[in-house]
Amino acid sequence: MTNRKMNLDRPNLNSEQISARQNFDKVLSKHLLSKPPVWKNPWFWGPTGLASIGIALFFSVNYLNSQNETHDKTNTLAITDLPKDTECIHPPIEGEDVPFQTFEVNPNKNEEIILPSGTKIEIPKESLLPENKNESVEIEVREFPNKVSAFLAGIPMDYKKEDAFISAGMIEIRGKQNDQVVEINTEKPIEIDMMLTKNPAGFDFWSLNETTRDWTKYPVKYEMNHQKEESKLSLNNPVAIKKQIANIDDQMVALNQSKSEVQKPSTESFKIPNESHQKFDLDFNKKTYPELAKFENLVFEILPTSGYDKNFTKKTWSDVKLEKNKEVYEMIFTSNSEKMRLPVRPVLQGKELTEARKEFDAAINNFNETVAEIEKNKSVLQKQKEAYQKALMGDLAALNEKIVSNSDDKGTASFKLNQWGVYNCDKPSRYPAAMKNETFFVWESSSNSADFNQIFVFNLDKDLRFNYGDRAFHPISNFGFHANDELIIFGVERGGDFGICELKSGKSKNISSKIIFKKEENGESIKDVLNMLMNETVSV
Amino acid sequence: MTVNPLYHHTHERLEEEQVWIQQAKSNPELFGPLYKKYHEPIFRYIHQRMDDTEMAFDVTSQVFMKALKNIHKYENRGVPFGSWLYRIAKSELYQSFRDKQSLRTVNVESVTLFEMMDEMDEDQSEINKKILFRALGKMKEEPLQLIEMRFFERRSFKEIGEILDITENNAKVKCFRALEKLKKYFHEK
Repeated sequence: MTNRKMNLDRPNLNSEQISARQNFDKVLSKHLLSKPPVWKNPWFWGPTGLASIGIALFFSVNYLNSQNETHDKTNTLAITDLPKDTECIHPPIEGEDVPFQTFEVNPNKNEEIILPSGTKIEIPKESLLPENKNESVEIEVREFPNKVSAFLAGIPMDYKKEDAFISAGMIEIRGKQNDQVVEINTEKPIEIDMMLTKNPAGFDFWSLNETTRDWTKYPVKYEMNHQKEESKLSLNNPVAIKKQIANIDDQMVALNQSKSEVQKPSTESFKIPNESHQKFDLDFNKKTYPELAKFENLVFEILPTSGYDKNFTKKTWSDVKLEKNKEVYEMIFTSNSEKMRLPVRPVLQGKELTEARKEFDAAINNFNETVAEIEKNKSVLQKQKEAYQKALMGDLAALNEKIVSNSDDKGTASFKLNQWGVYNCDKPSRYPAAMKNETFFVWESSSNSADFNQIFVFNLDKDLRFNYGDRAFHPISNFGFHANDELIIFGVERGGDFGICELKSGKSKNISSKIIFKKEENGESIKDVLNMLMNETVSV
Repeated sequence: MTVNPLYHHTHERLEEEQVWIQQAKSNPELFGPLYKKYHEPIFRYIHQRMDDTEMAFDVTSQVFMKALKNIHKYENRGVPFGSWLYRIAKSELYQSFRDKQSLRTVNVESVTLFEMMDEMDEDQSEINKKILFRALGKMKEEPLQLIEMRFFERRSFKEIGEILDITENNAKVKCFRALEKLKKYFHEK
């Protein structure tokens, strides 16, 4: 659950209220203030001044660059040709590979590359050992933020033979000069802060062994965004920490307020009877009580508060009628000598009562879940508050503890690199058991059997891809899937034809031995089709 | 479903807007008509996702400052100016969430919930309203954004695609999938 607030029917501001807050002059003045003043413009100084400043700048910048320079390469990235296939990394679909972004760096300077995702690559001076130190080195990088990109690039995502990887972020990085691989100085490794796409709790970090196609664990340090903020706080001062505590207190107040506003459903509001109370069937005018007219099986239950004589039914009453007095229904019993008013409430019977009980149960569940969630959020905040309080008392280490792992806090994986390759934040998950009976793959258009040499099962519920056939640990005869999950099965024939079978959650239970594949022929690229089918958030 | 009327311009209005953009590129003071035209929709977009009204006005101002700063980069290559502003607004909004200056908020109206129940072929009852409200709270950010844009703000698939930088068809598919996810949560009682 994300850290968000849900509002129902918040009053909207009207157009007048909004337009009253328009202030273009303020926006414009702030914009103009943010621009450098005219006197800072080199042209202000004229050609001579400009030339002098230019020469001075040239020498000073050149000097500084030779010492230590950091470049933000974000604006200089370029998309290169597609990567060359290798035995290990081999895209399953021709022409649909994920291109590298290429950056030229100077091996004699500190360089920094920031990728569009926010991933940061720091290359220290003399970290790269090219043959020609006076020439630039090309750094090729590509990230795989989702299942589709890793699939299209042909990155093997199996771990040993039993497991497939769930990825929380993966990067491939290479360095070369004139098409020759450039070695990395192991004493000055490249440092990478890779932005993750999932919370890394429970995930390990791996590097791909491109000879064995298997993955080996790799040292990493995960840093969560909230930890980053907290470590910043630890460097600041107690005022900032106190501010955080005050913020938490405010959130606590809001949660308590929400909790008090959540009303527990009552049997009364669902017109569910109390079995121990007396009930009467009574004809009433449905036009007078339209709110009761829609019920077919309505009786009236005497409210226990009235303190009435239960033997009143033994008396003879000449008339009984229904009245409503300030939202309370009353049955008025009249005889020649007496008049009695009994407060009652309408309750249901029969099928309507069965339905009402179901609705009541659902409402109770909903109420319990809401309260539990509020309590959970309070508990999270309480722990955070305790950590901040410890920090205030001098235990700054408490700030570096993993206070609470928020599922939406993705964070970064920081690692040092002294060898080019593919690095991955992953969690292995077991392959499904092979189908008990032989499975036939059939084209929907012709009913002919499909001769797939590669089959990929994307399990959307588990966020996994299982591979069968060529270049996979598992032969096609081992094909299997999790029958309750939402699946997209992708088959590739040796000739390059491919087909897709989409199975909604639970639908795959009904599949016996025949799986029907559609050919995608509407002209869209397979990347777009897969992205759409898998509802991927990041395009590749 | 009705659609966001501001998105559907006449040819003349679009041409007029292009003139304003060109003028604003050469002189920021001439950005005024664009500010006046888009201030309310951009504010509503931000306020819909935020709890603090004052902060929503602040973020709206930041959006226009950023637009002023970058207007020289805007080129009419099929993405309307409004959608370009929404992209900036989205970026500024999520920056304010990241900076913890504001809390991501989902503002839902009962009438919208009833319309959605109709779209989902569910009975329009109070109990379903509560369940649907709760189901919305369970949604992940991306599908929720799509539901907000499609159902709460009544945007066309084309406009959603332009704001999210995806194709109209992709927006359609994603909205359909978001609704399917919502239905799934709805039935997880």
